[in-house]
Amino acid sequence: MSKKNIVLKSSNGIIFEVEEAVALQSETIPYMIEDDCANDTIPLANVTGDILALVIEYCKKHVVVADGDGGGSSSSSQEDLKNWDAQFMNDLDQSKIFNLLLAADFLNIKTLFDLTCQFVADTMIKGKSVEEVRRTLNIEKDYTSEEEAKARQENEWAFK
Amino acid sequence: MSNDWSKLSPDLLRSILESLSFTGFHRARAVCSNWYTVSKTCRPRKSPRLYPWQILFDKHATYGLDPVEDKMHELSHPLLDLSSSCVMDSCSSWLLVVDLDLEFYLVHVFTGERIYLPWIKSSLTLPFEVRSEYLVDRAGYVCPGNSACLWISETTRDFVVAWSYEGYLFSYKDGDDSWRHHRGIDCVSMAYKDEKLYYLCKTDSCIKILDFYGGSSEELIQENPYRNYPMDMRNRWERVDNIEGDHEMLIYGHGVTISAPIEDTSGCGIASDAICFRDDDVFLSNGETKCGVFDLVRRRIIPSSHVAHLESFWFAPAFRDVLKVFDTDTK
Repeated sequence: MSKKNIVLKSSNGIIFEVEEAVALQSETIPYMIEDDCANDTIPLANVTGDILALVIEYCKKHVVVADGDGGGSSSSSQEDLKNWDAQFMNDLDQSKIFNLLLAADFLNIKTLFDLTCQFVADTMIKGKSVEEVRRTLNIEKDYTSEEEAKARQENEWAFK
Repeated sequence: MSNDWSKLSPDLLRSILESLSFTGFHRARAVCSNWYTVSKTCRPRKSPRLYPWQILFDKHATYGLDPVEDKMHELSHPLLDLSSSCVMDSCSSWLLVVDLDLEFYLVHVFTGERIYLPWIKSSLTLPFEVRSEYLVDRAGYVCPGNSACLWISETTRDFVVAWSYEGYLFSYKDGDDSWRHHRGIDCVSMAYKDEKLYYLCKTDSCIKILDFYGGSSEELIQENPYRNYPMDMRNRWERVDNIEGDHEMLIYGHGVTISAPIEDTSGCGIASDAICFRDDDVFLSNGETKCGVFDLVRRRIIPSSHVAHLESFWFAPAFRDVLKVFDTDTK
């Protein structure tokens, strides 16, 4: 079986050529292939080059493992993959994570999306006070004092 | 490239909030108004959000221990007057409590809301007196034994309560005018599911079933698949290697299972294929552990790290229930 390549173009015009199996982990790309001419470059207007590179790195890693064991991946390779995922996320700064989340959502890559959500939850929100979460994520408090007091009061135990 | 976390689309934000632990989730609601609004549409989707907590009692306060975040929360409302009452059982976020005056009520762990049951002394005429000191252990906060059962629906708040005493089974179903009693039922342990009460009968060591469907409470005999299988409660232990294909977790002594895969992310042993127990449930050689988790896969016991001197109790908070309560409160 000959391997087919797919060409992806980021919003800032960077071209990536990847194997079909890598690209097809995205559930969005097949629709774009149908809609556009199959041989042409697929433009991804929402994803910049540096983020697309990350997405492809992730997809490449995950396609190899799925192939390697003939379908059912062994528990050790599962474990390796988990470690790889953790390292992959750990190396990213907050702005990259934000954009990776948007890209994973737009490209509809479920495992990457779940991974990113969990990482955000675990590293940016979990175990932090409300003020720390606001500071970490640069979120402005848009509550009035009364509203905030009410939101806290509902779950008073969670703030102790 | 602006990354404004407060303006994430509701779908994305929902996914993040649903990845949080129970405590994290409730704290995140106070971050900003958009997060608050979105949190109301969240549904428990992922496993880490549903897992058992411990409730810890001491003379002056009650604490909720979130084992995954490894954090104690003081439950600030006056939950229980523990000098004169005891916890009999739990179901989702509710505890069944009885006091020395034989007043039974349900109390919500997080909101402190109470549902009082009819007073048993005025609602039943019995040929004997129910002595509250057999139910309320004045030295402890949790009733001795496992022979009580609470079931409550997270959505409709329908509930059923049952407990056994000296060869009698007492039951109360939400909406009834009074308690019912059933004679000749000596029960070791019980659980309620799908409008049926399953109990382990002391006399013949078999599991029996009472059907609570409609207004009745009749014993099912033909339909009982356990009727010819007495359990040997003295000698033989049955070895269990997993619970329902690794996807369930048993909270021992309460008849509660969590039917979702739970991943052990924190090393505290809270995971699928583990049993949560308290001191009534096990006989440990060192005699020290009060509450803990038995990991079936690795065959090891992980004692609760927190406050071994406090009496504690497992319960499995229901997220939907908690959210619903808060949402109706704010209307």
